[in-house]
Amino acid sequence: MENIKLQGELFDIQRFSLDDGPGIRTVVFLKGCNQACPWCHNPESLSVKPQIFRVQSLCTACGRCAQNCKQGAVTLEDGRYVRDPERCVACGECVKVCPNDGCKLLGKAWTVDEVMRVLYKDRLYYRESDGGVTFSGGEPTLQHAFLLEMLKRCRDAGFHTAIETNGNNDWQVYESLLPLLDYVMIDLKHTDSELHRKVIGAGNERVLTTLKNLSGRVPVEVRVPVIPGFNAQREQLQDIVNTVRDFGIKLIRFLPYHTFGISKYLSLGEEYPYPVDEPMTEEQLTGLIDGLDTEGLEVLIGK
Amino acid sequence: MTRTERIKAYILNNAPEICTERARIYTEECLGNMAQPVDVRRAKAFRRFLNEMTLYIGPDDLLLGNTASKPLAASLFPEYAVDWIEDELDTFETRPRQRFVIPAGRKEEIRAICKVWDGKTHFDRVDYTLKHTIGDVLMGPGPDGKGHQHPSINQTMSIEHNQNGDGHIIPDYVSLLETGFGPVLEHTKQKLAALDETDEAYLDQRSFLESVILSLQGAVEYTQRLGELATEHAEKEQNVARRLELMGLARMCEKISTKKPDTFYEALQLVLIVHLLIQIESNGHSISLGRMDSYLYEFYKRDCENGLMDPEKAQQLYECFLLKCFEANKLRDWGTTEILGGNQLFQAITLGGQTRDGKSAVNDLSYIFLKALGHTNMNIPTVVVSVGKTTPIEFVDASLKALVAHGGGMPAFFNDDIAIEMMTRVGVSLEDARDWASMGCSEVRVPGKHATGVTPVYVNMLKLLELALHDGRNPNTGKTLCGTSKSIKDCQSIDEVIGLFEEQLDFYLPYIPKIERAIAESYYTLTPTPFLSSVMDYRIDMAKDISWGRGPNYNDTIVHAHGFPNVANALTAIDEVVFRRKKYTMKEVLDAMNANFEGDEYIEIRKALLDCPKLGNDLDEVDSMCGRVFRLMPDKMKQFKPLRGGQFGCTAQTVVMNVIDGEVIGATPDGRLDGESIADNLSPVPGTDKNGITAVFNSVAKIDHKLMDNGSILNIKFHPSALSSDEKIRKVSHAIRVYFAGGGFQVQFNVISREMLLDAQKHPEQYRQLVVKVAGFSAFYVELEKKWQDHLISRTEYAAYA
Repeated sequence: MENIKLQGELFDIQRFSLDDGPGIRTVVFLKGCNQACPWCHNPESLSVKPQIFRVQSLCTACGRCAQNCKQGAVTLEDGRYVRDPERCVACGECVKVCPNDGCKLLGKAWTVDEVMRVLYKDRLYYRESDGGVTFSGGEPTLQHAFLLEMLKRCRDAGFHTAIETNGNNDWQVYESLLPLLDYVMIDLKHTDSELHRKVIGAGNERVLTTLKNLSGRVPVEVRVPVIPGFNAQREQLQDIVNTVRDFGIKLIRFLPYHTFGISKYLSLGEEYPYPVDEPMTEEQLTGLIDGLDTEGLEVLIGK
Repeated sequence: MTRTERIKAYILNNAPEICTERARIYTEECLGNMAQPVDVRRAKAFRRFLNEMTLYIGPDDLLLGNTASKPLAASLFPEYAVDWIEDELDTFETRPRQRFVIPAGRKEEIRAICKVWDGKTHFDRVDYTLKHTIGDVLMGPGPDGKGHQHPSINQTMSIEHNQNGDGHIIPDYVSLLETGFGPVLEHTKQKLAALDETDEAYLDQRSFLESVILSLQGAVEYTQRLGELATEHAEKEQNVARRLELMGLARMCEKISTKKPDTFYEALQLVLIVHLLIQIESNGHSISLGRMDSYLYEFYKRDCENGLMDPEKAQQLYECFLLKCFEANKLRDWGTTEILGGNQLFQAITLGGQTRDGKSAVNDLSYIFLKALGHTNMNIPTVVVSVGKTTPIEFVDASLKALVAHGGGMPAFFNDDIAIEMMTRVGVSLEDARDWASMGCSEVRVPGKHATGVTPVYVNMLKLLELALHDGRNPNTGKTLCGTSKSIKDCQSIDEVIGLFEEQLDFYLPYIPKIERAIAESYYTLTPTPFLSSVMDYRIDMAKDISWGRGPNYNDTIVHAHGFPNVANALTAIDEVVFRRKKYTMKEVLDAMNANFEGDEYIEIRKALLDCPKLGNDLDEVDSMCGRVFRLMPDKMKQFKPLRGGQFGCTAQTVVMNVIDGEVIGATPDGRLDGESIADNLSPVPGTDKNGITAVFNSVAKIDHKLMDNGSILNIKFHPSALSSDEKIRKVSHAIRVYFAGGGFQVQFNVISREMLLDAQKHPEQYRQLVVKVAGFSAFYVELEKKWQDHLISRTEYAAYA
């Protein structure tokens, strides 16, 4: 019975996703992450707490938010919107009064039933396209109890299930999820644990363990964001490829660095923490990948 | 450059101009022999024009035929209306869009032609009848000349088809390809000889059959002239390969001028000639081509077996065909130009679908045609695919690939199974229903068996709701034609509000048959179309012009009803805010609307209204409201019969009237501001669909589309990245199939254009929900930095032309 009250902190549910696993999928984005990749394109996923997201292009600086902010966190300075993150408790009062949809409250507690109701709406699309449901984030495994219950319910409903994970969690967590998973997308960002720790905030030991243990037990797609200044050297990528191959994993997808997330940092009132502001072109990425020895692997290139 | 690129360049090198050849000859023949029956006069004019008009052959043309003296030139059709020509004569060359050049010295001629036709046209006749039947409620053009310039009834419905021809038909190409012109001509002569002279309809039938004979003779002579012109060109041609092509065309035209076509090439040429001749006889639009992959397949297959044809050649010929359709042009008054979004002739071609015995009709030609479409990428003609339970998914994939290659929203996808149900529901036999093809924008027709469908009115549903909310009074005009049985402020439930809305419908809708009567009567009396009649499957035997309607087969008169998404959103918002949550009273909502939601308090009311469920989000309360108001129109129109027989078939498509409709409506309870456009077709109100494409599909599929047999349209905008790989294309194919299996009727995708993205930069509030996908990451376009918006703009342009 306690499961009825079980809630997950989500920042989005995206229907009709074509990029997050096989077929047509609904992607459930869980909030909160135990890594902090400075290039992350979903900065709203890092904190498990709700956040205020303000879209500059829709904001007319009418001041309603400032008038209604009980914490005094939002003010207009010289007609410019300013929000003090120290004072803001993300109560959402400003969202309620914004006439332009310029403010959003990102992050909300959802019950399993509430999420299931949304997932059910596209069940015919999953069935027709051999698609299903993907849990992403953030790092979805951090909300383990919620995720486990969601996966059970999806299995009961006959939905194909997948997760997108950074791999950085205890093996027991993955092991508990494994019987309920049909597909796993897992990042491997660097083989050098020290660099991994320095840049992302956590070493890669658990990632490697997860990869090794998952191999052969569930279809695995390894995802490698190719980040200039971090892992975009040919040798670094070759090390990743070799590691993946050694674990007996067959599918690897390279994702070119992009900077579409920069505007999201602005909307959250934060600074983009990564110093590279030029995206990688598909040609650059293809050039890099072509120079690798990827024998025995299926190589995909994301956009 | 490929041949197709050269032909395109050749066509586009012409500035559209007004050609007076037709108007001159029609004026002499139709007004010079007034004692002769009108169909005979018109047929003589048709035949003489076909014998005297300027014909041309482009340097790379593989198909022949033209409607006016140059590519993109437009003839005048003074018999339909001259007032607007006179009024706008000095602006055709300078108006904002769709300009037409008037050749030196022709302006005076046009003025003289207008003068002699003044008082004798279709427009004058309709105007006379309307004034004498419903003159007390008729209103002139919109207030302060804003918007389109057609008469209306208290702005709730605007009257169309009073200035141009009938159109809206698909000829019987299947029969014609079996016989060619010769046997039809022979059959008509026999029929004429066999008429019963004692029959009271004898003279009427006689003049009709004579006019058919004259028209068909004109068609034969036109085809022969094309052949002779090809011979002339061949004799002068230095390039041996081109000379051979021209000689082949000459032989072909001579042959098919009377005999049946035997090859794919000949069949295609004959179809083109008939298609163009119909548009010479009358300037009605939506003359459609039916199932071009089906009726040409046997020719193609036989040619391939005989080594005469291969897929590349067939594709090239299709491309030439598409460009020939593009070449035909039409001059319209400025008001209609705005409503119809340009010079569109709405020449629809349908691919795929089913055979008469219920099997998939997809064949090699279907795929070849899709390739030709993608390779030609012009906005005209319209190509649609019919997709249903029998359709292989590979064909849906191929259609999406053509969509990407085309870059401009074609082909559109139609649900074959729903179309068939629409037809059988109104009494069409199952076999005929399986033969259906799209006509114009979204209308479902049995080629050769459905007579012309007038579009008498465009009904503005949201305006009718506005009237109901103002106790029957039109706030713009101050006129109350139908007071409500009680004040809106006294309503206790949404059902009572809907009751007031229905009162307005019940008052205004009965004007539709009165208007249809005036228009249909005039077409039959003043502008019969014997040539068109001759290419329909039963008109010769019936010895009665197609504009008379009736007959043994099918008649359907089109009634447009616009604004369902807004009406559903508005009623849902009232229900939610006023009755369920009791957050504001009806009076407060009305006050806010009347103030256009300006002022602090009213902005909050607007916010509350905007926050209510909106169509397109898979939310049952508003979706079922939309289904409920959608049903009102077809239910209520059932009680009326058109003059031409058959039924009034409704459609929810708006062309681009949604902009003009919005101009005459003040602020509404869906949160829409004064003068803002209403939703296009059955698409969600821009910016209100927030849950992705499957949610839009699910919402729209809940509406019972079968009730409106003239169809509806759903526009969806796609970023090209959504269709960037075969894998994703297959996923979208699956989504379309689910939408169709759920009951959706039509969907068309805009793979986002550069123009749209530029517009989104200027008006981010209208594009809030425009999603750009970049692999596992997606963002709202308006939230992206300008730099990245610019980046996407350049990349999209590349994708659109790749």
